[in-house]
Amino acid sequence: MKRFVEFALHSRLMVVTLAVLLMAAGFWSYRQLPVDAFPDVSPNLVQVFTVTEGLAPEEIEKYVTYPVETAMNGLPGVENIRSVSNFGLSVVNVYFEDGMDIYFCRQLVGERLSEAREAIPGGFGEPEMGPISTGMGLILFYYLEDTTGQHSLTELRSIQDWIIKFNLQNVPGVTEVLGIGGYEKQFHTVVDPLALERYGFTVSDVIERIEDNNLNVGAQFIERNNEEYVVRSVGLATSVEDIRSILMGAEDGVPITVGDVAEVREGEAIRRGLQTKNGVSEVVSGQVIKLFGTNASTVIQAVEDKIITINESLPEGVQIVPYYEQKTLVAAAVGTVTSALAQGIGLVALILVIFMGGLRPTVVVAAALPFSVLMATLGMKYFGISANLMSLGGLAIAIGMLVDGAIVVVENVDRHLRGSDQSESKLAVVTRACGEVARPVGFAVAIVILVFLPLFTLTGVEGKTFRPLAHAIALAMGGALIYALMVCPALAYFLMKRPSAAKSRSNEGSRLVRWLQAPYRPLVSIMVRQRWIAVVGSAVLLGIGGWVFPRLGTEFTPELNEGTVVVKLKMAPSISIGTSKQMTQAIERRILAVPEVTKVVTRIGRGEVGAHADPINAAELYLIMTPPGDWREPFDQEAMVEEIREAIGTPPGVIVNYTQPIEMSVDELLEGVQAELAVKLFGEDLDLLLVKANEIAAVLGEVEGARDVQVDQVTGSPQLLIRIDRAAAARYNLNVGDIQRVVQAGIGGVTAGEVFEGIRRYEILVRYPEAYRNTAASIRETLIRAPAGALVSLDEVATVEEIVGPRQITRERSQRFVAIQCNVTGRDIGGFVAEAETVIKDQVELPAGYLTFWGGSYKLQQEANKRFAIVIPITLLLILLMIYAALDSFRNSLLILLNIPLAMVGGVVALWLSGENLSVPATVGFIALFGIALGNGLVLITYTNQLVKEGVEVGKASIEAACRRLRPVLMTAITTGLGLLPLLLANGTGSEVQKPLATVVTGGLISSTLLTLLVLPALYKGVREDHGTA
Amino acid sequence: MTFPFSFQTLRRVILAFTLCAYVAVLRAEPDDHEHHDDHASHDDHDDDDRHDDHEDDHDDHDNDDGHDDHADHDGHDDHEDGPLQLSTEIVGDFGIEFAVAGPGTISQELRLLGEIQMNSNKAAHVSPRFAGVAKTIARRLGDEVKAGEVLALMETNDTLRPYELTAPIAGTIVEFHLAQGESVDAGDYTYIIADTSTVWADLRVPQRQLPRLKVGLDVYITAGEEFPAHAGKISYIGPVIDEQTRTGLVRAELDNSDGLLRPGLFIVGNVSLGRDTHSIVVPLSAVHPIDNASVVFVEDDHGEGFEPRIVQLGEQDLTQVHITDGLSHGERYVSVGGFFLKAELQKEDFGDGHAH
Repeated sequence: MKRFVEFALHSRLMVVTLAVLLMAAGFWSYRQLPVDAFPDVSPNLVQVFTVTEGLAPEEIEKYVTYPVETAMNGLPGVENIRSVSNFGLSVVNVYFEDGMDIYFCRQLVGERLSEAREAIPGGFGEPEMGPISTGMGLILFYYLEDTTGQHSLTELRSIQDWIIKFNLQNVPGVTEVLGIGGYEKQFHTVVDPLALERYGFTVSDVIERIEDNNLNVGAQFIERNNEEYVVRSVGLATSVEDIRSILMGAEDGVPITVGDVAEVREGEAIRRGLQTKNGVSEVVSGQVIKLFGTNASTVIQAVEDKIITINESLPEGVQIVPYYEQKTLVAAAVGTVTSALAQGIGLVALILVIFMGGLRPTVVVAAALPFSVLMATLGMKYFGISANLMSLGGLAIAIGMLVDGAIVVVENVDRHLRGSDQSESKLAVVTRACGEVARPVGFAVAIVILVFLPLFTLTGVEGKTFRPLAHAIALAMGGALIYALMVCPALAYFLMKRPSAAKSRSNEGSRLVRWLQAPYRPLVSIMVRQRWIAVVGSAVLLGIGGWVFPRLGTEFTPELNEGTVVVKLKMAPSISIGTSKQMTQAIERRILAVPEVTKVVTRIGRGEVGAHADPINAAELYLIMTPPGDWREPFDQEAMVEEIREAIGTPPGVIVNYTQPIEMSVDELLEGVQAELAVKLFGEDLDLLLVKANEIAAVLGEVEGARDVQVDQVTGSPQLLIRIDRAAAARYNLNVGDIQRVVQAGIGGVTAGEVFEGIRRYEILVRYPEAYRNTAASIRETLIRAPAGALVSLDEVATVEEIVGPRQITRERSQRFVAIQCNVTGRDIGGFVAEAETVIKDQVELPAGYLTFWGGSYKLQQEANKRFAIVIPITLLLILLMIYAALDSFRNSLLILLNIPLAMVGGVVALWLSGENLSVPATVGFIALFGIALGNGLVLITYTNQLVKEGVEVGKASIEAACRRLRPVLMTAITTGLGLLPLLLANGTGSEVQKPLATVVTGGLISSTLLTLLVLPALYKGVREDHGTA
Repeated sequence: MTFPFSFQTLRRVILAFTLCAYVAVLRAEPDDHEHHDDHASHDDHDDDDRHDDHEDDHDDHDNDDGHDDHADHDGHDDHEDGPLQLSTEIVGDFGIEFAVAGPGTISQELRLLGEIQMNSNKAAHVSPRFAGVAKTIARRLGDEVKAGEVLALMETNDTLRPYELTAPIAGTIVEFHLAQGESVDAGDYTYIIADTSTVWADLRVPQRQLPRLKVGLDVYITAGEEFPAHAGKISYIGPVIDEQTRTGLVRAELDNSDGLLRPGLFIVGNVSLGRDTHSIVVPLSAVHPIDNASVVFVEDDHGEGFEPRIVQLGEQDLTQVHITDGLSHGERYVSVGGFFLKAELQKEDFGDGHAH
């Protein structure tokens, strides 16, 4: 350590220059850092979407999901494959190990997708990967406002799809723009089945004819007069009239056209989602998705700029109106932290001036802040950590700690300069002073970094949330370490002056320090003489801590307040889109009764595939409110949610939840890992699965400690099942396919090519008129022409049943499953699982191929606990080792470890007093606290040892060391505490996560400083006396 | 001076502290189930409400306790046990309608396709009795003729004597194959005269439906929106089935005084199979399938709410159904909009385990 200092002082100019360069690099990195609101906790996954219009979940699973899943099996790094087969949509989520490069993962999936494409029968959809984004990627939502009222929803949707979408997608950093709402334009060819009959055509003929009469071709070129003329033949249908006049056939020279058998008109595509506004109107809307890894704030800014340009080019009266922007959140979150950071820096500087009693030493110490912070940003850039609430929060927390090392060094230099002989060169004095504290400072800072080690082993959501914080702190502390050992001595040499001889003897430190020392010296002397006071005192403190600790509430991570309220509705799975809209709009109107809510914009179901796979029974209401400042007094977000809750009341058959945009989309991606305990029963037959799942649930309910046992409801969607009677079909010489084609085209509708309007393309949909397909009775009467000319109604050759089918099929590990959820109270989960497992094995008979699997969050937790059980002792051992290395005395090391429980007491009491819960951030606070407390102890004990070595009597040495180190110990404690003060008092976005952390550290600092200053000297003497001098 | 406690004790104390530290760290780690229990037991955590909401969200995906909590928040306890409520607000917003169970009539219909044919009983073919040449043509295609009216003047080839072709019946000339000076053989069709004041609606009947049809049933004939509907009765049911199409022939004679029903017209015939009056008939919109049973929402005795009642369905037509069991006369039920009650009933089920 000393050698570092010597080297730094030797090449002091180079060190300072290098430091400035590093800071410049750090600043450059800071400007380049991607800025996000929160750390991205989305799992590392690639989603594969396949749209197959009109297909029921069973068929989607069979024809689409299964081939895709199978293709994805065996990819490297795949942790899990989960799929959902919904009506008309298959979503396969391929979860990769954390840390794998997203583009590599996508490439792997992409390669296998071609395999999957081959396995999916023709016409059953094309599997496609979702956007290159994460749960945090939805950065801006907008809707189109038409003030003229002249544009239909179909026109507005065309504007969205063909003007806005293209332009926004060109903005760098935007990966996709998804449209929803309104109607997509289609050309409808409504075939009259009776007209077909009249002329003896089938619906397949119509489709074939339209497809055959709608194409452009090229025919190379001809040469004429030394020139080449390109030959092209144009035969694309471009209008309703074109389709109408397509020839079906001719009878006795009389042409029969599509227009004779069908009504051709512009119409609206079937939709699986829509967007409503304010309970009265429907709107067309779009969602802008940010590319993975790009800077949210710059992308949003670019999108906003582009929107202004696009708005100018839109038809008169049509405007893009953003209704949700992540920017506000990013700004708020980063603002909360950066203001805390700035205030912290200010407060720390103030303390330094007061304690150091001079500007020069203050500057030397304070320079540690920009240096360490910029070193941290340099590291963050290098490691790809974005600037967000957590990483910047980590820096804010570290502010006070960053100067600790420098304080100790500068303080010592200051003291030595005052006390040194004028004959000794300044360089020698500084070298001696720095060398003296280099070792303890180095170890102290290293310990602070080390205590964060367990945080790096966190996995999953907590890991992703808190690792950036730990990274930022570790990086900044690393910077602080370099500063304290190398830059600080050099700077001290340049900047600090040797006080005049007259002043130096009398004045050690500022007046404040002397004022503090006056009562401290007798106090510590008493403590050292009457050790029992120290012992009893700390025992009492511990007792208090022990009493308070069990009274603390526990919670997971406190929720981050995003500042936008989303009301999420879940309606009956079988609800029709019209009713879903009606219900949603009724609720929108109720919410608008809350005066602070100015607008409600809702997405029902899904629009263009990519971001959401929600069915139409799900609605997400975004509430646009007046700024919180204008709310009724006293009103905060909780009260607001309560108010909204009341306004909504209890609409029938609707589950209402309150969430926030990012939280919601991240939850969607994490889906399925959050249950505390779940038995997943894997198997083939859905009905059998359900029966067995219910049996398991019954058995499980009997096990002691089981609570809220619940079987997933997998059915609930009414279906009209058309089952072809093969014998009957054979009597008419009909193929099953002949019948299916009529069912598919007539009832469901089939796309027969596209109409091009410039680059805009619209599908041609062939379908029967509504009256022929809107009731079970009319479907039964659907006519099918047999080859011999017989006209057969559908129910002649098929049975049409109304059944209740699966609403969606979820699969995991390539198998269907039904989950049985359960909570456990009053006993340990591991024991519960063991008992339940045997009971289920004994009492439930599972057919071959059916197996159970225990999952749920408890599993992750057990893993985490297991990891901690290894990592924490190792960390403590390492710390002990470091202290031991610093002190060369095992007993002294143990004495320093005593800091841990006493520091904890303060943290625990502070939590209790402030009404906070014991949460993950609080734990992080404890971890930071241990580091600081140990560091302080280390500095004090080292100095005492030094004095003892110099021959001072042990008792006297303890007192003397304590008095001499009062200034640095108090200063480090106060700077750390004050550095956290802004976080403690902050109320902005994200403060809810920082608060418990700051509370713990501040509280703990008080108790641990007391310990360091009063108890340690007392016990030190005891340890030395009892066992002789070391 | 002696140390007040031995080093041994100190070591133990430190060990205990350190253990304490482990425990604290372990306990505070991602321990959300602790929280669940906790939060379930103190629901009065006012300042914690915001947080609870979010926990509810998580729960709703996976288990039901969050949902229960949610119900508690609304001051709305376990509604599945009591009758289902419908506030007047809801009734207004969603157009929910009520009706009182009572008798009704179910009419059964059968839709058949076919075409208009000439009434063969009232058509006549005119053929020359001798081979000859047409000298004068008096009546041509489309002319109305009376019985006995001269249609054309012929001359025999053998004797060169003139003779007349006369109309055997009154009617319209619907076919005409004779030109001035044309030589025709005896027995050639020259005129077809039909009386189109009545026509036949020939309907093809799938073999399965044949037993349900009887002579005398009412038939309504339509030929698209442009044509008025014509009423008739089944007058004839063909004795054989077509081997190609496996359909039988059902015929109704229709009045065609307006002349719109031209032979060859493609028609749809709706045969009324009968009208049955039952004591309890409800609109189809009142019946909801729940767990493979049919349910009607019936008001409970006290008029406090509605309960799901499993019913047995009898015959039904396009709009109504006969309830054979489960609903008694005079009971008030939800006739339109029962879906919302069904949804409320199943809310417990769809609230959980639902993935996106």
